[in-house]
Amino acid sequence: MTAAADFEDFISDYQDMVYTLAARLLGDRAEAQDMAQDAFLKAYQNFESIKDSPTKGGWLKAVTTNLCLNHLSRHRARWKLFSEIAEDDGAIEALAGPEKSAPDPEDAGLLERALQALPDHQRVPLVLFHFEDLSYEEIAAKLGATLAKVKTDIFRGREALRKILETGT
Amino acid sequence: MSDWERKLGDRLKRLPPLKAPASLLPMVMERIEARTRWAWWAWPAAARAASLAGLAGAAGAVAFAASRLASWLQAAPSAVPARALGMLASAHNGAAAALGRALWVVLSSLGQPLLVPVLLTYLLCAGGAVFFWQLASRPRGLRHIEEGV
Repeated sequence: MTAAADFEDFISDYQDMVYTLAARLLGDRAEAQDMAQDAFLKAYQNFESIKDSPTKGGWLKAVTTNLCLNHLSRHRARWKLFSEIAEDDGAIEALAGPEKSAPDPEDAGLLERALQALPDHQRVPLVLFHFEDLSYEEIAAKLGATLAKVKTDIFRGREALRKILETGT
Repeated sequence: MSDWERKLGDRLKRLPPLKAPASLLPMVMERIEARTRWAWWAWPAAARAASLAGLAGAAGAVAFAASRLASWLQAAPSAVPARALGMLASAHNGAAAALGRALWVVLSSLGQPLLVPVLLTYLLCAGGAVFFWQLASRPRGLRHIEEGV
């Protein structure tokens, strides 16, 4: 098998993973396709060293995440990393309020759309937490935010998801 | 974390991946091909050798010319602007005279003993940096992919 064919197989194996991660981080499928292309170009430049690595999937995820975060911070005027909530942990409890009737999060299509509808500053930490299994501390370090703000944004993201799922739009 | 939040977290983790557009793979390969088509390392060997020789020749010529110019200006710093201004003044052209004065300022500054060596060093460093960056950024597996090995 040629090296070019090797690289095409590599793209075939990982394109859904890379595209999904980019689409969830960016909330925009056209931009996700651009970022996925950039991620694979970086992979191509390092293909000799990563092609036999058992961690190439993780490497590709890290590259995609960094590209998407850079893209958000550089190219989106509306991107705000932090919520505007006061920087204290008590705010999270204050937001919680009484238990509401829980909507069913089983509808995958609706959940995906709801995720994309979230504002960047809520969706990004939520995706990093739930899909990439990063801890609050790791997310805070990656985004350059405080721990309290990351917790607040994730909490607010979940609440926003709940509201979107409740209205079913 | 409430039960609903836990359920939501589990459900998010179990969300199936999105399907990448069918155009993704061909677009990536097209961009790779476009990059390699114009890259220096993709040139024919003769063209690469000629470009290296040309670069070395140009660097040598610049170095030689700069050293000659520096020594000439240091030997007779006032000769050049005086002659140039005289020619311009004889043309009775105010704009040309102004240009001549500007040239005189530039040439006078070239007469500074350290300026030419510093400029030359800067040019050589910039040229070297571009050359080595090209070499360093060359993907290691590229040749195999291009040749379909």
